[in-house]
Amino acid sequence: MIEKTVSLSELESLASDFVRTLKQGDVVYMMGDLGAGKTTFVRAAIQSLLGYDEAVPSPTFTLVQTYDSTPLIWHYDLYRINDPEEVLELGLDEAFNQGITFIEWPQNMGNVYTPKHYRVSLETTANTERRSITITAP
Amino acid sequence: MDVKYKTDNKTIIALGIETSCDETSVALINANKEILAHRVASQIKDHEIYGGVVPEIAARAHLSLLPGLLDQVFKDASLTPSDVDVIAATTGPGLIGGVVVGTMAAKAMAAALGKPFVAVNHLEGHALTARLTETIEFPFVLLLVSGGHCQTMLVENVGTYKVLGSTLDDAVGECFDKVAKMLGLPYPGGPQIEKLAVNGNPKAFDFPRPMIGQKHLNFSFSGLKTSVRQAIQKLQTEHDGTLPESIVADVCASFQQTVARVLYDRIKQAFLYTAEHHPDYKQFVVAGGVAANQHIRGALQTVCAEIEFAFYAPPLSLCTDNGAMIAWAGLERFQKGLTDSLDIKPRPRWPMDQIKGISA
Amino acid sequence: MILVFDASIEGFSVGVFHLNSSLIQSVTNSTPYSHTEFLVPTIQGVLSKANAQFQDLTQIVTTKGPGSFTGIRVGLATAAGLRTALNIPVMTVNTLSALAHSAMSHHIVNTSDIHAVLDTKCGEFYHQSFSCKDGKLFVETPPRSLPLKELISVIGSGTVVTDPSSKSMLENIPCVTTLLTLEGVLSASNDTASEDLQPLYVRSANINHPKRDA
Repeated sequence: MIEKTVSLSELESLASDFVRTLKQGDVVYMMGDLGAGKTTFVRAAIQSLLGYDEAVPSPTFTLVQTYDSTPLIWHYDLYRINDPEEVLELGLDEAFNQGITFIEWPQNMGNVYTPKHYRVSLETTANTERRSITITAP
Repeated sequence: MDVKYKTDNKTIIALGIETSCDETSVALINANKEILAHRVASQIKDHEIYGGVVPEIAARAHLSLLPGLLDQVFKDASLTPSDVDVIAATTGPGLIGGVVVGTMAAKAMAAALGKPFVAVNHLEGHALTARLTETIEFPFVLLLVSGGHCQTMLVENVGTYKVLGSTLDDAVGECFDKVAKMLGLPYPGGPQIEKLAVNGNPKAFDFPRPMIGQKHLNFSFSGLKTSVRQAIQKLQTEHDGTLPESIVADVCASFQQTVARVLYDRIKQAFLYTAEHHPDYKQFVVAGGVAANQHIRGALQTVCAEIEFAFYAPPLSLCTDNGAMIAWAGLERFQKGLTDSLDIKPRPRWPMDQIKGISA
Repeated sequence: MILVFDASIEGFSVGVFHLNSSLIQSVTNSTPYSHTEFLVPTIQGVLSKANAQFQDLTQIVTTKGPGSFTGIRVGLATAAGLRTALNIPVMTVNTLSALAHSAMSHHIVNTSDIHAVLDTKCGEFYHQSFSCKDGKLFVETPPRSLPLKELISVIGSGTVVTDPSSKSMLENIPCVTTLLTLEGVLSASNDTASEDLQPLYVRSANINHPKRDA
């Protein structure tokens, strides 16, 4: 378990270090409001897994983006999901089995899927340049 | 399996299937740029009927709509499946569940009919649409602005796309949708904001203009989105939670104006870069759903006039996702010999510079 | 000639049958999540091994779930494309019914109380019960998704039929383990089949009060 307050660049290096231990089948829930830094964390995490600075846009619109790597990396953003049933269509079963999966707004999938997961919680602080972060293991 | 290509002089007919997002769409077009049949079943509209605002993104809807649409386009065009010369489908990028439905149906049809299959990149569909509706030769500068994408590129030939700049975070359409959601407006947010902005003051709020004036060609909208969110939260506190219509209109107008200014600036930089490196490139095409916004179109027309680029935009009906653009991209690729094997895997993410071109 | 395929549980299989239900050729690919790539080429391959062409087909039979959500859509979308191209009927069958029929066709089940069970991979089990009279199966309950505890109480002293990939999740419950066979799919289609292409996800029907642990 990690719990600290960090700058945005420290958040990125923390993400890069954190994901080096992930393996096939691992799932990471990203918790926090809009603007809390979820996509910043995932972008740094994915670039660290890939080993190069691939563009990692927010998948809000497409709901999921995959990155070619072994195992395949799946980045979900379930913000637009209004009904948990909709997540049945998003290939989550394949992601959980075969890949490393990051999910923003996992609460929107209700109890349709309940995989074991790491939980990364981000919160804004009074200082707009700093975030409080908590990471818990499954 | 060997595929026999047509050699007679009959006009080539292409079938296009688009299922990568909210619209299920099928079209039949021919090489004379005639749209023989075109059906778009917007899942958004289905939900409006019920008074709801649910963004139905379910692949299930594609699966239940697609077979009927396929039957319907053949009926509309008085053709049978065996009259088709090439079958194209969006195989990415997009919602994976939907992409799978369109891809598998198209592959099965291609196999059963013994016709070539073309795996079309959804963005390439948008990129080439202007060539279906206008007489425009390569090369041109393209701005693709939609819910999921925001990038500029040089379109030099079918399959030859050089990305100039992309968004580092959010897409423009997504930014519109998120601001609309913060204001409690229905999805999709773009048309709502445009409508309300008409009665608002675009100078009411001074939002940041990310990257304006910078030499590089990328985009960023996340900071703007955050700033709008903070402004809305502050206003909501001041007004006990419910914003008066006039303030909502002002936020919409100011936000839309800021986006238009940013796009104006980013395209100007792209033109200046292009003028320096490719002085003979003098055409500009805007594509994607956000191109339907008249205010943004106006800003783009202004910069085209200033830097002397010819402005092209597909008709509004072909700016949003549709099967005709997929059929057209499929036909263009087929004519260049760019067909695909039936073991192609659908791709949720598929950057344009990874599209297979003629030289590859 | 009938084309039968299943992509609704891990891997996929494809076969062609004579109208009298005798098998001509079949191929099974057990690699998970390879169906988007290889299902259509495998169909071409099976037809070619049978010295047949798509135009020789008179009917298509496939499964509609419950099972892998991606797999179900792959199978049904493929069926939709074939139906449009060939203008022949498509029959879809419930995967649990096909599993029960698979067990029957191997004559390994001879009791009147049969429970077809598949792992949902979401912590529950798909379940449907059948009765068996004079070698024929009759549906007793609609397909459902149940937690293990409830499943055990529903099963009682009946015979559980499951597939190898679900077996390990059923812990100490005695089961008849069978692969889902194309013969089972075809046989199920003679009993209960529909002509629409609607998937049978089952699990969605159980979501009443989603947890919101924001």
